[in-house]
Amino acid sequence: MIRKKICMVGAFGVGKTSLVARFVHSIFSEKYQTTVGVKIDKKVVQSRGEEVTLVLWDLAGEDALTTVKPAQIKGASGYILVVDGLRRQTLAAALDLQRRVTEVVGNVPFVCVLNKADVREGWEVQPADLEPLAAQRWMLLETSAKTGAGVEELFQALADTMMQEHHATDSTTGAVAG
Amino acid sequence: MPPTPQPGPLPADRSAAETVIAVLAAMQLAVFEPLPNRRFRLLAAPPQWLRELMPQIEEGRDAVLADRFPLLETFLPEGDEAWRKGAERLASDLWSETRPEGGDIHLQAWALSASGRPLLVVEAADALYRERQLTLQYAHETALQYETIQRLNRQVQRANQAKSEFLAMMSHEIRTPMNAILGMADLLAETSLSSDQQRYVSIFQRSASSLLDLLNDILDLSKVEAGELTLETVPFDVREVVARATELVGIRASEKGLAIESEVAPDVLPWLAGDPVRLRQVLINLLGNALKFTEHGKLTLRITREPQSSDPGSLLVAVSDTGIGIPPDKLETIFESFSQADSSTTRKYGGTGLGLSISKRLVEAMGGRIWVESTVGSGSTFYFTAKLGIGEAQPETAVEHAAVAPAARAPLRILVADDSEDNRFLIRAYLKNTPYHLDFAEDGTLALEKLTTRLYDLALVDVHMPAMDGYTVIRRFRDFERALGRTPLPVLALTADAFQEAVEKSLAAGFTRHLAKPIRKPALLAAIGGCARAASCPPAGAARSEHEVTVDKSLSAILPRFLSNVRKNPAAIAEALARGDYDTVRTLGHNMKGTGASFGMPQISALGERLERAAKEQDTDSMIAANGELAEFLDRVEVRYQ
Repeated sequence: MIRKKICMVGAFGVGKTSLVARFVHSIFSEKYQTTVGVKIDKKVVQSRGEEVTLVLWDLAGEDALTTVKPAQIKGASGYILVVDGLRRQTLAAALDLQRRVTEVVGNVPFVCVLNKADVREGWEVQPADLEPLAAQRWMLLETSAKTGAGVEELFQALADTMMQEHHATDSTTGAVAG
Repeated sequence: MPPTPQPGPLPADRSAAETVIAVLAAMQLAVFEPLPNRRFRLLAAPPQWLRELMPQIEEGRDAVLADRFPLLETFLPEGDEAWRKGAERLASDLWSETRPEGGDIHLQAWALSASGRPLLVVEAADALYRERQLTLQYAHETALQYETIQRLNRQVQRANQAKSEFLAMMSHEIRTPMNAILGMADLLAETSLSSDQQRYVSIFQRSASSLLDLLNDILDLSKVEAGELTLETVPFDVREVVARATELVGIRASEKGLAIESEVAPDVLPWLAGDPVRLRQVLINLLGNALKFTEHGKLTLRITREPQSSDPGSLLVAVSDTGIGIPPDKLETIFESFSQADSSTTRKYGGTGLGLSISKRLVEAMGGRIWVESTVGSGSTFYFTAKLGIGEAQPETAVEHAAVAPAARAPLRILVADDSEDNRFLIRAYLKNTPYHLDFAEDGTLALEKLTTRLYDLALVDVHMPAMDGYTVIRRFRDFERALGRTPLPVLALTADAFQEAVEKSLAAGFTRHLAKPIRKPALLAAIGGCARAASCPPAGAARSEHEVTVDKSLSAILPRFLSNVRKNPAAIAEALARGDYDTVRTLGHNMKGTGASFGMPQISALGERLERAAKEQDTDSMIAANGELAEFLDRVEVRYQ
């Protein structure tokens, strides 16, 4: 079966762990629990008629002292940049992370998600902030780990894009998917 | 993977080995030895957590551990390096896995070298995880709280700004008609009226004044609440402040048959430093409040040095009345906004209850506090303290009090630009008995045209006008004056915006002064008188004789039209100069050169020729100078037909 490593990256408290918990276990907790190190989960999804095991690396959120280690993102086939719509500075953090992740894994598929869509009226991140990203053809999605809105779509969209890349690479290298 | 060292013999002492195994089990450790091809063999019985995660694992069995624990993919290359170097031990990052029955287990791997033998230890590290999580979580929660406070602050600031803008707009909307209402009432009172009519008009005036006071209170409070109140620190005579406050409230007090006694203790310094306007406002609020609730007796205002303070600028002020008093349970809340002792108070005694709330904020801004002592039925005493600085005695200035006696008024030419017909009518009526010559403009475009083509001694320009607002008018007019090197004309901004920001905006745009509507007649006369004096502009007509031009009367039918056209040229030339369009300057100069003398004005021809030549030579300074002279000539020229 095909296995794909996906990293969840973003500032602390944006909802990376909650998005994975919603996607993998269909649960949500209001209580904030800081992630230490890495939390690893797996989920099998169907993409283009094939089963893919997504190995989700939920990396500790970045703060003043914690930064994502290149070793942890190495080998990722895709990643999810998580932004908290309520906190504008988490968008800046995500932009910085995107640059650093690209240095390690190259131009692999990624999705930038604006989480906490259930409290959209309080968002500081404004559509104008996202225009430059849309112009760069970033895949931007709104999610709510709390309500589940957009969460399945997020992982499915990333899986589909990764599989598209996977087959494109196959056809150029002639390698057999494993 | 580098070649892995072969394991040595197991310990011969079984009992010691059993002890070690028991310890390993108790410590929740799983010990593996590395084999080739990413495989690891479990050396001791698997601890319970490992059985849960890898049910097929058994002692002595090998497995590709990284397949089950992906984190090892990143750790094992580092581990290989450590084993090769014979490093004592290397720890992996903490990682978490989901237990099959739910919940998380937190793990950590160690690459060890025991007597040169490489070992991989994986341990359940729940305690270490919790400890690190606790520290991090505390830091994150603190940071999130801080961010939330900052975000809420930003939201509050935005909301406050929206509120200020709304109030400024409402202030404008309310003050504009109030201007006409108050003004008309004042004018009506000056006409001959029957005694009944006089009474009606005075009620009309009083009600309009109350409404205006209320509006000012609301605006004041909103400013204080938005934290936009800034107090001045200027030297002032505290006795003068007391005299003005008691004088103002005294008029209303005498109508009720009440006296106001005031006393400033001899040891209170004559000159203090602070904000006299705000201090007077507090005194007026407290005296007004006392007056409202007192029917018999008297009001007393006493100012002494604050006994608790050695600072000579600290004052204690007491305002006492012999009124209805305040119930003890209301003593604290009466300083809150919109809170009178009883909601029926508003109906019976009027007012909004904002005065005390504003006073409290003002007193606090002066570094003091306010409180009240009261006995129901016998009266109340409001106390407040204020920390003021020590001021230097100021020489008496005559400017403020200088009466603008009608006889002293010069026959100024004044342009009034206001889109409201009522306001134009009002200003015309206010200035009816003055020697001023008034000219009117109904919108900004017309105002700018008149300002740049006609000569005035002063202009009153409403800032909110259709076509072009007053700010644009003044900016363009000041540019025009600068381009011509003219002395700035005194131009007063008329606006219904009462906020300080509006005043600052007017001054920044280039207005000489700011008059807030509703404008009362004395204020208008004082402002006109003050401005005309301050600007030291030559009195109208002073230079006229030098510019009198005698022209053949046969030209009387066509000359006004010619002059009217030529008067547009200085502005057009100034604009052309501003954009570097010398061709236009040259064409206009050429035209004037050719036509001026034909209309009996050789001065225009001469100036036209200078402009044409300077434009040809691209000599900006000469163009500006000649254009200035042209504007001056056209402003002053007086035509006499012969």
